[in-house]
Amino acid sequence: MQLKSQPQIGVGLRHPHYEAALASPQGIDFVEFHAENLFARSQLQQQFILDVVDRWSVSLHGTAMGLGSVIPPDANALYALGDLVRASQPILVSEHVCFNRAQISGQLLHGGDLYPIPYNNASLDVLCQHIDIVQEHLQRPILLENLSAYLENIEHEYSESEFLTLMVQRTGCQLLLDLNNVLINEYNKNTQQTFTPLQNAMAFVAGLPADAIKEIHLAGFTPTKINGQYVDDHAQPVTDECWQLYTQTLPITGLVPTLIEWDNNLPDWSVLQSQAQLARAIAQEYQESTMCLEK
Amino acid sequence: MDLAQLTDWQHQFISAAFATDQQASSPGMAIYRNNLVLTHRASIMATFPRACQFLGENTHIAVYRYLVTYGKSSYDWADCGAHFAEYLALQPELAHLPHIAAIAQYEGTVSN
Repeated sequence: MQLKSQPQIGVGLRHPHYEAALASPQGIDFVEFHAENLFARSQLQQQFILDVVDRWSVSLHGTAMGLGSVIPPDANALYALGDLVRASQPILVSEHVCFNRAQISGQLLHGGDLYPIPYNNASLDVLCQHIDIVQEHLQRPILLENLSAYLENIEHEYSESEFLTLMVQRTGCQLLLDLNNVLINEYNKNTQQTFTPLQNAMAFVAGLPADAIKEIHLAGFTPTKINGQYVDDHAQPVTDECWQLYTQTLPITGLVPTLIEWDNNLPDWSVLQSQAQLARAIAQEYQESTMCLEK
Repeated sequence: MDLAQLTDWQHQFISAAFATDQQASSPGMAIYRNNLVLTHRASIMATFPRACQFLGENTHIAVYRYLVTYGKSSYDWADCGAHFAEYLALQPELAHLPHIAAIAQYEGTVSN
């Protein structure tokens, strides 16, 4: 029998957990950093990177490049990312399908957020050029994550899945599929829907180029609407529907590294380990089911 | 939409996100504006805990005015307090806290 690879389950490692995580690394295959948080080159940070790399594999998750911005990525940020990649040797490097900055009255303003882009050819050209720049600089493919978006009435020429497919075809980049983002977008739709949010989310996933999906993000959100919409605040455990969507997605993507994201209202480190354990159980169940089919 | 129109669209979006009028242009934009202000405040409070302690209940408004005055151009949230000490030193209403700018200066130096 051919030996199958084991599920790779990770968690986002945030500052308040550093001590607890280093003391109790078990049950986690890889950790994810927000890349910009490690751009500063203090001795403390360098030592921390060494401590982490010693225990786990690392995934670098960028939240600041805003590759869909018409203004090209900043050279200093690009070099800082390159240095970080060399120092941490990540298994994955990812960013988002978004923009975040513009020149206003002669001043560059960077929103520090993940702003949506219209899915059209102009956006596609800009985004693909900037993905090419990053991939060329790092000499490796990066993963691009689908977004949860709150702005109504953006005029798109493509559906999101069509746009992501074209982006993958043109750049050779890969996809980070954030299942919570998919669900939030479905929950926030104002129009009458024929199918449930979970069914629509599953249809969205099925429309993506499955071979390009190289990581999955799982998260929860505060179940209270703000300005009429649910916000992807990563402040709660992974929701039941997100677990269901994960279970239904694995047969499409196969086993891919899967990460628990929790950024606000942080629980104890042990809670993240428990969430990782739940993800591992689902991934293992899927893996066993594929082995049964092969027998 | 061509490149010029996309540039204009992004320009309008960022202008709206950093706008200071009370009413956001849409409920969605209100979420982005709220995120910007709250993340900016959290970042300043993480870098300047003692200075913000002195500001007390005025922290939110002080940090908001700082954001409006200086904007935010760095990719790294940790850099958004680069001018915070300088800003505090220039606020006449903080004259009763003569050391607050020096404290902020120290905290900014330590965090780097």
